[in-house]
Amino acid sequence: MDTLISLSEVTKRYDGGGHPAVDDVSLEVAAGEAIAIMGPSGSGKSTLLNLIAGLDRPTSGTVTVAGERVDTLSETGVARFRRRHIGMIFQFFNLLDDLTVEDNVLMPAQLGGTPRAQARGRAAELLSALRIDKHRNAYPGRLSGGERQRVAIARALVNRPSLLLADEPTGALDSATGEEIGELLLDLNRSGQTLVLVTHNPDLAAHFASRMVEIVDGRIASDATGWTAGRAAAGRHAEVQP
Amino acid sequence: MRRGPVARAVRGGVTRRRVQTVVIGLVLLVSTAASVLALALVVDSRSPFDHAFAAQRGADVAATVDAARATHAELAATKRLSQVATAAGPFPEVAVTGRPFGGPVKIPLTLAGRSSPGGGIDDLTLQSGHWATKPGQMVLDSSPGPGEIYEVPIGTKITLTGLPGKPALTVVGLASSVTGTAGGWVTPGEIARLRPHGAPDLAQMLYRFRSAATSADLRAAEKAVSAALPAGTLTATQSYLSVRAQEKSGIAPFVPFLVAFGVIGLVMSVLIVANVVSGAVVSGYRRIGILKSIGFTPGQVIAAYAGQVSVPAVVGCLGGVVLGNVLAIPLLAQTANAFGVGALGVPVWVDVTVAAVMCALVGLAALGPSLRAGRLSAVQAIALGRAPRTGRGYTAHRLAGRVWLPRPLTIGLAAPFARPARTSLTLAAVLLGSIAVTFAVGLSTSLSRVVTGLSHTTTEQVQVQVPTSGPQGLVRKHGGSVVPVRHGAFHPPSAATVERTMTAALHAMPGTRRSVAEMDSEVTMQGMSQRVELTAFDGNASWAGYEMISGHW
Repeated sequence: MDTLISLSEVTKRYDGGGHPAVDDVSLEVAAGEAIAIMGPSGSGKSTLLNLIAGLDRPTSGTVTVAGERVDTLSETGVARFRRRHIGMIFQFFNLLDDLTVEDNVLMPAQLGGTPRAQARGRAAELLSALRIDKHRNAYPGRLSGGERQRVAIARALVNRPSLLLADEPTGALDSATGEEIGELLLDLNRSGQTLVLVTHNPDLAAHFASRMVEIVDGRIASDATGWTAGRAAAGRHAEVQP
Repeated sequence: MRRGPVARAVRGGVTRRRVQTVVIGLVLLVSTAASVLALALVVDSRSPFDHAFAAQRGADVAATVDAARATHAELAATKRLSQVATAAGPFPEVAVTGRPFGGPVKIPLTLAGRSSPGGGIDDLTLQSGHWATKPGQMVLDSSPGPGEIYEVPIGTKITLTGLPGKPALTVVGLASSVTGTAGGWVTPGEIARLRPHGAPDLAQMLYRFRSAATSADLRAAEKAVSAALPAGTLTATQSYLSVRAQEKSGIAPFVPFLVAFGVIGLVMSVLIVANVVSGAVVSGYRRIGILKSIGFTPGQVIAAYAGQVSVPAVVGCLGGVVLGNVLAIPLLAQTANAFGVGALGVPVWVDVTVAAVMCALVGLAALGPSLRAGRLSAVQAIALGRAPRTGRGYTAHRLAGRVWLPRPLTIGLAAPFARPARTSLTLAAVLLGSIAVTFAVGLSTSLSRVVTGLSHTTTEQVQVQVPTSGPQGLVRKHGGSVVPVRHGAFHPPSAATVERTMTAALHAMPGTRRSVAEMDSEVTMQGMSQRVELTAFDGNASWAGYEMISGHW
């Protein structure tokens, strides 16, 4: 399979000095993979995800995603790169509270230059598939945590990104809602969506990822492949096309 | 740059963050209004007379001429002299004495006949009421005369003494002349009716000269005018320089305070706007991070934030200019009254400058944090939106923690050190506010002392009105109740008798160490359109608080 993500000897050190948050990490992820990055709090897993997304820059090493050297792009270049290739889900949703659900979903499409009618059609399709279309004109503040995360997923998928990054996507949700969101991500991966999931929850990782990378003190401690994602998947499935 | 998402982000920020929008709008509204007021005050305080003189096209010289000695053509010919830039007149003029309400108070007045308040020279400012349009009406000078404490409202009938039948004029308007060319104005035809029998046929000519900067210039121009007229025609002149000198001496004590208040108001407005706007951007760091994470470029982030702050700022700014002008009308009218000049207004350049500076200030205040936010990575922006940069204010927190105070209090005390720039702005605004309060209290105290010093409180003033023409007199103590004193058959006492009796009575009062008689009167002088206050003493009154500047009693 084609390599979608390639990290080579990546180190990230913050201003304060001390131990690097990410220390000499090399990693390759193939297109269509569902990989879980695990580790305790402060181990550097979120930093690694931010480096892949171009939200942060490595102190040294190279980050290549979809054939582009993310670490060398300008701020404007990396913003355009994100529009084209990256969909991102955060633990605390990071929705724009002053825009409606539909406007939140439409925003990346408009940034990407998708014609308005086409963007609205895609947003409607996603909101319907994620069963939040009745909230399209609501503001995020009025939604439950699970509904907000669905909005965030719709926003992440609206540009049909080649890579979906999820940073503790169930961390702020109750277990039942977390399970639902996990199922959604699993369905997406089954449909061919490459998924990088950051979590400190081994059960979640085991359940939804086919590969688990464990990070400790910024270094890769283990990289286990061969998991069968969705072993215990059950319940309601949403048909979401990436 | 795609404008759709930016516009959507701006609209969302403006409409959903209502508190921030309203706060920015209100701060700009109030600050702009205050700045317009303050700058107008500063500008008008610098040379109020000159501003009013230019605005009202004041006369360099108001000349009184004997119209019986020169023809209209000869007077008109003076307008074509090389020294004369422009001239107006002749306006018939007469000196009269009026009694408001037909009462005992006498007002000497120089009346000029003018058909309208406007003109190329001495454009009169009609403060209230309307212009005199028919006989029996007059417009009174609204500027208080020296020492004048009474007001004559519109509708008052002023009975003119010394004229057959004692005609009365009804005050229909109040107006002011920047150089005080007359104490009142009537229709031109009215003057002949009001001229006492045997009084000279006087008229007023108003001139603006090509060179009028110095007294020598004016003297030379007056000489040319006089030479162009038959001998003895020009009876008196009043130059704008003497009026200006008088005005300047009167306003000198107030100017430093007004300028100081104006400058403090301006600086405080600038600091508050910078503080609020930069605070709004800093508080939006997390949102900036989110925008970047979904694909906003740094340029789009800056545009979104500049727009979000600019929309309420520009609305507030424009509203502030309007509000400032509305508030300036009564304030500058009071200032003009205090300065004794006709009218003061907000110059257009003040409106334009304040609006432009405030908008630029908002842009600058927003630009710094926006640029910083644009340069930050999305992760840093989100992190900074939650808490200040790591290590900021750490020393202050550590030191405050050692102080024997409740920990929540010391955390609060150390918090401002985490954002030193904003704290400095806030401190500067508070400092200037304190200075303004100190100034205000100091001004009030200082002026109270001046008033106390001038009020001759070391003496007890007893006002006595000597009955001269009626069966009833009034004796009243200053500030006390009026006590009517009835007489039997009225025999006006001689002045010497009155003085002797009063002096004896005063000295018979326990506690009286010495006394001095004082009499106030107002007179008109030919060539002086304004009344002249005359105070007579029957001896040396320096012990009563009257400072002798030069000469002797």
